[in-house]
Amino acid sequence: MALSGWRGGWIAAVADGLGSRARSDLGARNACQISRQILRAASSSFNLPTTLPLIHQQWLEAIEPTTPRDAATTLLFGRVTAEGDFHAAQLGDGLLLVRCAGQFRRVTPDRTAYSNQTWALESNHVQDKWSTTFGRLTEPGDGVVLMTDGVADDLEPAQLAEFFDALYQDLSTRNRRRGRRWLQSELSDWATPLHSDDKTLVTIFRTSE
Amino acid sequence: MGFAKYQEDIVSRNVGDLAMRSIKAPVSSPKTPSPNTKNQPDQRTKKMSSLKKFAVATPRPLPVIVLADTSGSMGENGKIEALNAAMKDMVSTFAKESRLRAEIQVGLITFGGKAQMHLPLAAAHSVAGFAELKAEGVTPMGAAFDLARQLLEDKDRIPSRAYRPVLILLSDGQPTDDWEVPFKALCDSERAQKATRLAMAIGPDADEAMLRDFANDAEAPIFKAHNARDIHRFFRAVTMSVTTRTASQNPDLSTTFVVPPPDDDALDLDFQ
Repeated sequence: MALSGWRGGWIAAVADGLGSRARSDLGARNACQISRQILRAASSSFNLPTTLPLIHQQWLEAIEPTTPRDAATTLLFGRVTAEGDFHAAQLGDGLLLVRCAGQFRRVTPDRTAYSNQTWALESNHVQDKWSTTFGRLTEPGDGVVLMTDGVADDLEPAQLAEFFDALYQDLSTRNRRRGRRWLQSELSDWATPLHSDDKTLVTIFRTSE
Repeated sequence: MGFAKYQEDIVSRNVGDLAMRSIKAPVSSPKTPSPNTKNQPDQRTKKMSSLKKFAVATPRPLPVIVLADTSGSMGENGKIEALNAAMKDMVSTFAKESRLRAEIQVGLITFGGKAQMHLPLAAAHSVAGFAELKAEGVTPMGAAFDLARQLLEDKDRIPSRAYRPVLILLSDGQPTDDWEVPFKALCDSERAQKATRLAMAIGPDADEAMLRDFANDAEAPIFKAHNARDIHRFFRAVTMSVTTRTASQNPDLSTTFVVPPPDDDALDLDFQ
């Protein structure tokens, strides 16, 4: 997982390597690094769909000599500029949530199959398996939230908007360090029985007018 | 973990954070939640934080669905008795399983005379028992495939957060209805086709070609039961395979399907 500032705003990337693949840790780490590098270098008016094949191609080069199959990983990323313009994308499971001009929306399509059956960065780039979104964060409480399936699959689907708002309400009252600590304790002490999957959650919120 | 206020000072914004920081969640201690309960924050023992109320109150299920031939021919040579005993053993073992990472659910569809949901899909630990299987009638396997497909496609009964279901077909004879169309529908269904399918041929009259087509797990080719003991051995292998999955880091991974060796002390006559 990577969350960092850059001169133009914020970039976040979350990758969850497929547990069944030998070097998915390497794949996930490289997916975060590559997407972050490309998003940092992109102009403010970049085209997200045309950037996705580039991310995939550079990921393939970065993981060599490991095979794409062994390094397969999901990937979610988001970029928010200082003006509030955002771009975000997702390949594979997890959740990508956005609130834009006060309107909440779930970008991730409904899962058609069962848990842990997911598309991932692998040998071939399949454009239509990516979910993408863009817009402008204009109000306090607008934001982008990325999370892995360890969190996403245990959330009540009908309450995602409320979950998003609760995140904002709690985090907006804390500084970054305390917010991070609070989130960590929430995810460590998760309420779903028998939960055990890795959990990563990243938020970027607009907090001022 | 990461949290960013939108307008922080320029110094903190340029502090990079590139660690892989997934929370490695500890395996929570097994509990016995009541099945199919919705979120009920008032029943939680701990003080609710603001995020916990959004979490699903039930564990991720791992459904195991048995399609059992209960046609008249299963009444011969102790087959139905062996099947009853083996099913009960499997359910009680699942019920006692510590459920480290998944809650095993069991469902039973029978086809003898008619196809029906003999035991609706439910958490194994909540299954107090089920009515003895009785062998009677013809073999409407196609109708059983339809029931299985409907169950596997039903997101209310098997939610998307469920681990990959296991579908087990066991039969001692030829289907007596049109089974090809329902079987194709099962195999073509976007959701149902993703289940792991295991098959057991009971005795010499089973339709082995069809059962071989049904089985889709490379770890577990069709198993042939020559006697009642073999039925028990097959179910023990299923039990071990499923319980191993619930304890693994990734319950969706296929596990080695190992049929235990026959007990040399037992005397068992082969099915004729």
